[in-house]
Amino acid sequence: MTDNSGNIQSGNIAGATENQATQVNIRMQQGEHTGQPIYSNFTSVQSGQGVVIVDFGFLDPQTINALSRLARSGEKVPDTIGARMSCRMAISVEAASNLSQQLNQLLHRKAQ
Amino acid sequence: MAQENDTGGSDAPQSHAKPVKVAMQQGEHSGQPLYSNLTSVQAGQGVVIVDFGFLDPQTMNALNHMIKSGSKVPSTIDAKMSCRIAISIDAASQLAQQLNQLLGKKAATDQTQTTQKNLADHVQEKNSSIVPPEEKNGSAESNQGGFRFPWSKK
Repeated sequence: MTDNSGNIQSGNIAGATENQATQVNIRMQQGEHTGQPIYSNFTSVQSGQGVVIVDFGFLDPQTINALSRLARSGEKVPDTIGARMSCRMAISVEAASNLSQQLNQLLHRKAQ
Repeated sequence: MAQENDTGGSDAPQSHAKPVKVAMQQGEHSGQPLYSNLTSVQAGQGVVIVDFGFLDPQTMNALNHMIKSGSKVPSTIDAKMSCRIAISIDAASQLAQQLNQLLGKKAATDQTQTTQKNLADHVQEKNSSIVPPEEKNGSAESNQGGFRFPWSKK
């Protein structure tokens, strides 16, 4: 959700006491580099010490198409291709778990 | 600095899968990772917008404390956005799979370690002369990142 000013993002967090869940809205204030989103079409995930490292990369669509053509025609495909890393995030394991749930939920909804 | 990732993608027309390594060159802002403990996901036009935010741990603790003590909780709290990423739907799907795989493995590893620890404690209680096994470092996870090309079989 974005409010009228367009620069505040709100999410929600749930805290639970025994069986009751309390929902709190979170206003996400944009930082220095968050005004414009960074585009990525490639991701890589690895685990760290108490964090999950998520790399967002960009793979040139022309490279993907060329590789696709090579593979279809049965020609030799290069072992390694180059990509540009857009952003590297270190997220807490809880946040990674939440992200996984959120993505599963969204993609499941989109698939229906 | 370039980082090589085994893509895990398959490029064969039929059932043969051939991984292609992706050498990821670091960009301007990707040298140092940004820390985030809060995420938000929303659908866009052909993309998925993923917001990574940071919520002060003290706020989080205070909130937990308030909830536990039953006092009034503020309806809205502030967090700082660390980064906003627009990822293609394919990439979002891959990311979800990668996270599921990693967290599934992590949970399984944690469970095994807990079982091993409990077993070790139990054995130690029974016979104090037996030395418990050394604790293994649970973070020895290999890079399971997998980029799936559009032609690869899921």
